Amino acid sequence: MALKSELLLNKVQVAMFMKDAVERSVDWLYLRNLLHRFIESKQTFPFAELCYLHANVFNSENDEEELYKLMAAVELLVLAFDMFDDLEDLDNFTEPWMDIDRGEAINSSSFLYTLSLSHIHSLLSPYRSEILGLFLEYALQAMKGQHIDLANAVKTEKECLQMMRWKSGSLTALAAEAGVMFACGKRYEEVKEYGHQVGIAGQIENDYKGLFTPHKQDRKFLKPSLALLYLQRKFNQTSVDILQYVHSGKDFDEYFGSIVAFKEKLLEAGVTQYLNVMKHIALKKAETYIKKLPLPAEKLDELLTNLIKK
Amino acid sequence: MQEIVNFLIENPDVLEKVVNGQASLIGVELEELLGIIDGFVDTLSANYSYWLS
Repeated sequence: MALKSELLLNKVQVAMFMKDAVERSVDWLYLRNLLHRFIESKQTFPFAELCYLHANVFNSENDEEELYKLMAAVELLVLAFDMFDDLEDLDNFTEPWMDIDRGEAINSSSFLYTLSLSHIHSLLSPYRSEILGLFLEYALQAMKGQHIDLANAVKTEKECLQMMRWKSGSLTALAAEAGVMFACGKRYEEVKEYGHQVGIAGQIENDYKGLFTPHKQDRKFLKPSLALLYLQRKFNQTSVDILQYVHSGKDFDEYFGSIVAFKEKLLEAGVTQYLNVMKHIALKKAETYIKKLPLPAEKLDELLTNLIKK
Repeated sequence: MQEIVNFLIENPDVLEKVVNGQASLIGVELEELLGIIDGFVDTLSANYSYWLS
């Protein structure tokens, strides 16, 4: 998920503020350098962008330095969750935390998670308690969604969407709501709702791309997902063929001959259309909530341009 | 939504009417209908190359 318009967000500065938070908490160079390496591995900061967009839509006169501290806290939390996710799923072996001692990696993610919360506590914002409350509320919700995913407890489309809402939607909702709270000290039900829907849409797109990631595909495809639930309905023979591949343990290029052949199979089965429809439904729901916000037309347009019309 | 998507794949004439606004889908909310249209249009036209390449 990347925002469309050219926001004045300085990505180098986001990473710098994240590193600064680490430096203030860790005086042991070994750990400090390890955490810096993890931060440096991040190429994009979509959750910081989401936070920045909302802070500026709801208040054009924010304290920039404080706002960057908030964005750093948001990205530290997301980084911690990304690390936990990879360590729990045992995938994404290209990430730097996956090629170090497992215990050190787990402790590093716990450290970054706690650092994120402690960083909020150090904000000068009069709304820091409320922002910390948002972090705790959404972190718990994301962990609940993650556990449902880990336990393979999803059996239906409705349950899958609920799991995605908690697991992924919580973090986008947090980024948006934290920006709004920082800017004006308020919560809006609309922001909460479209924040979740934007996260669901992003997760659906990531899940589709994840089907073609080497080393990751086998394990991911076996986990309950919208794609697998659709295939399990066995609407057509192609779905049955793909299910056989899923359980074959082979790579998609080995089984189907090429990535293009595999993608054609997914299209033939209807998986591609189904995922695209589910993504667009989430975006339509988000659009409806955005338009309900009590904001001037140009502000609504700014949100729509960045979040929906991509 | 799984049944609806599959129904539209199996009945391209109905899908065409839905996309062109000549038919609606009973029991489907407006956001879902718009999402269905955008989802199919996105897959089969403009962004077809994205999903296939």
